[in-house]
Amino acid sequence: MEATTIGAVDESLYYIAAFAFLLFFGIVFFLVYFSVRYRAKRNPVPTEIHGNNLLEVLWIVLPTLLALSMFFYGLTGYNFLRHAPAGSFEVAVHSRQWSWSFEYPDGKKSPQLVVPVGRDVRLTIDSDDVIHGFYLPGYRIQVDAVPGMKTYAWFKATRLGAFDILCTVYCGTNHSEMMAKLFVLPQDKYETWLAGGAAPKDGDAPMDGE
Amino acid sequence: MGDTVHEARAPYFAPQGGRRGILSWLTSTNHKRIGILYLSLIGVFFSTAVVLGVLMRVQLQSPSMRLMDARTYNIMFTLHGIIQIFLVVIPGIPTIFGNFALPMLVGANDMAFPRLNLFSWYLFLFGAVLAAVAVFTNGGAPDTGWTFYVPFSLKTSVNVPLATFAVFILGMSSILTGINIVTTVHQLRAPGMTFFKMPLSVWGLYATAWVQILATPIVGITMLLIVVERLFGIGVFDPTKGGDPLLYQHLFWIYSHPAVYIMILPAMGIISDLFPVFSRKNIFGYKMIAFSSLAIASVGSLVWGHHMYVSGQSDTADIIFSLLTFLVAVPSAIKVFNWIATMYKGSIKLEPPFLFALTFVFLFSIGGLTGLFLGALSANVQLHDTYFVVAHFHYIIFGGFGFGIFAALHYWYPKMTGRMYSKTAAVVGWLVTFVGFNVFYFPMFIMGWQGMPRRYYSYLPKFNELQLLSSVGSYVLAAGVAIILVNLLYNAKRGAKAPDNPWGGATLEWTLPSPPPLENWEEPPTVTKGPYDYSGMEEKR
Amino acid sequence: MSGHTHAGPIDRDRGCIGMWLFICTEILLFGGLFLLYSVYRYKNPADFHAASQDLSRFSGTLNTIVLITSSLSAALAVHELREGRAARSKLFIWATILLALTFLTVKGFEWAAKFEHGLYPNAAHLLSLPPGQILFFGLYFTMTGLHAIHVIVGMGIFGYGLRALSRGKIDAEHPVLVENATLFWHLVDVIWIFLFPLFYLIS
Repeated sequence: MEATTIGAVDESLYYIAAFAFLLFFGIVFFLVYFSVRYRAKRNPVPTEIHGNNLLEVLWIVLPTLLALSMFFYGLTGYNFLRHAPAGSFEVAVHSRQWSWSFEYPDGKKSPQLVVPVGRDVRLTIDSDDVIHGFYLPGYRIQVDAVPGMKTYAWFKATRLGAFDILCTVYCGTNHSEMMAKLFVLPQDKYETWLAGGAAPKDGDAPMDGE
Repeated sequence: MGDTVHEARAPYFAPQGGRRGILSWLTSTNHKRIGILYLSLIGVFFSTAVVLGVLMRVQLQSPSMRLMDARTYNIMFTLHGIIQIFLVVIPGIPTIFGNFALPMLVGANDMAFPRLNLFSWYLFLFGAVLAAVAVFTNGGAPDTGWTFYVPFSLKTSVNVPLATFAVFILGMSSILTGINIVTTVHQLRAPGMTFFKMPLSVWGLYATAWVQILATPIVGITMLLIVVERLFGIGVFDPTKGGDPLLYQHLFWIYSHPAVYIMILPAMGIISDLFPVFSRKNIFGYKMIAFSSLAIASVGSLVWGHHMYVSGQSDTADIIFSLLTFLVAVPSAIKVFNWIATMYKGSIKLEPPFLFALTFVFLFSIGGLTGLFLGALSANVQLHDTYFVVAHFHYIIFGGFGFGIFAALHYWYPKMTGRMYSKTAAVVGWLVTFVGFNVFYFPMFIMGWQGMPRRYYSYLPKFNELQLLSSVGSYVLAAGVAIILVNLLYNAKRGAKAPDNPWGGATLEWTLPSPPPLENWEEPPTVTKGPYDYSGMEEKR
Repeated sequence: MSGHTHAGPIDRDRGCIGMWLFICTEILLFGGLFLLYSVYRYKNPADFHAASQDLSRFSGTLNTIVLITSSLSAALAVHELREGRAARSKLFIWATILLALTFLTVKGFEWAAKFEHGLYPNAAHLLSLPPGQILFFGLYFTMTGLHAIHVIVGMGIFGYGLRALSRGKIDAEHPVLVENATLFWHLVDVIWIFLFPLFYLIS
């Protein structure tokens, strides 16, 4: 599989989910089983046990190793997310209460993010007023837009379609309406748009995105 | 500690020394009375915040709902957060049970500084009044979220300084309570009670008190800086003057992450007391649980940056904070395993307090395991500031603190009131809250996973069904909470008389009458056995 | 009998533990500000140096001497009290209060001078300076202001101690209040000893 930001995030999500479910069902099983098996009616006399060194060492060491493995999974994915490939397609993202705007290298500005399919897209993000959160769940991208500094993120636009861009850091009254769209278009349609063609609409691109 | 017959000493809540009525409560430095004073205030605040929460869920029932406008909704989640965090969950267990139960648990007659104790209650009241005033005056309530993130909080409604100052005052109250608890544990333990003969609830409160003392000043100064920034414009958090908004977030979370442990550690301690009592056997791995509390308190002070993975802080910082975050998960896991192991070969009675304790473990486990997703750097990118986080911390805070305090209330209720609640009603209340809780919050994990950001007044149509389900769950949960509260309130005066030791506990408070007299012991008790040693107690059960 | 005292004079060990814990919280309170200071100085070394030149080293040095002397007189007050010489103890407390007042007066003149030169938060002149200087003066007023509040609180506690001494509530057997007031005063002194070089002596 080609390395994408989606893969980098989803791999660790599913890895952790597998162990989380395993541990969860183990915990619930023993809670319920002991509650039934050792209820006072069935087991009127308790057996005194103060501890068990082997068992306790085991459940210090095992969770530690498991936790460390999760950390490394997260770290590997994150390293990938934080290092945009050289030669990425650059777009500047500006945010303000309560809208996004996208600025292209040639100076073109757009309220929607439109990119050609297959490219690595590097976003440089800033804010004019308060902190916003640039969130593109369809490509597993999130980073805050902070006034006074520039943050960045990148993704590989592998999937055609329209994707929601949302604000995740609460920024005032219309926080929940601070939305935009990402359109990943085939190269020819992208060029038409760049040359001044009409803004794409939801139906324009095949919706295999989400 | 044999079967001494208690000569009739008046219960602690009877009129004493010529003072009666409300005034005798407001001037009393007695630890049990102050505990009840806190309980009354916190009960009112909790109910208020639950109502706010339900109103928010009504608004979110459908994306086109217009119960309130967006600004009102933003104020509501801000108030819900401020009340629940600063007025309920952080003070909750240390003030209610740290006062009511702690001196009895260590065999003392009162806290180390009784007058300071009453003073901190008044500070708490004062902070709460300030917060309430901030809601109704001077342009209206703050709409910043309980985190008061700059620079938004520097620009929005005019009452932010008053609200943040209220938080500062509440922090002072919390610090004084912490000082009282640490000193009490060091100085006032009964003869024979070594540190390793203390009940684990005392260990929990003790570790918590250190966090209160060491972390709260940082949020105190941060809140003061917001006030000063708002009033004079000093510029330290204002990017237009060279200030760094991320520095605010660091300072805020240096306290507010440890604050999560202020919320959960004492609850864990109480749960550790309940598992042995209702399994009739010693806790599995006493020292491990005691030390894991200290481990959580210390390592937990170094993980604040995991709230800021996507904030723009350096990647190196992200990596260090993520590593520490995974390490702090381990002591919590140890506690869960030890609790469950305590049940092994026990003789278990599913009394109401224990049902709540078991539910605590169930919900806390879900909260803890979902925390692993958020701790992992890449997974967090998708889940950060979404409903996944909202669900996660409600599983920890409501599932942990909330059910911990429900367990504690049902456990010490006979000691507090001298009466017993209806056990049937308690079980019904438990079942309804348990079902409502999971229907309410579990869908939020799914919505967050699918990209539903938090603090949204409205939402995309793809979330319609799950949002509705979640709202229905919230109504069920609120009904369950109401059943629990009514049962406890109604029976405080009308319930059947409770025996001195209804659960067969081996800790010191159960050697006192129910309710205890104003002065717990006439002669200091001598401790010769551990807190979970039930040998020779079978016949009294 | 540890657990069985009624309200009354505070047990000495207990009072001492409580006060030290409180001092920890005070150090952390200022610690947050020192943290901010370090970060901003690290980011703006030249601006901090330039802004520091606007402060009066003379006043700063004078105030440092005044405060250290007051710490000494506070310590002597405790010593005299423990020796049972309440009258001399009162004298030293008075001296401490007067020195504190001197400190505040000097501080007041300093602040007034800064205000005259437009070097106060949100002043048009200050806002025309580079961000590092704005932050320097923001921190200067916040930190010395918070410190001054502590000086005033300390004076209040000593004043209360004087009253208690006059009424005979405090003596060689029950010196906790004066001891703790002095402990607090040393803290106020120590904080100033950190503030002084950080603001006045940047080279």
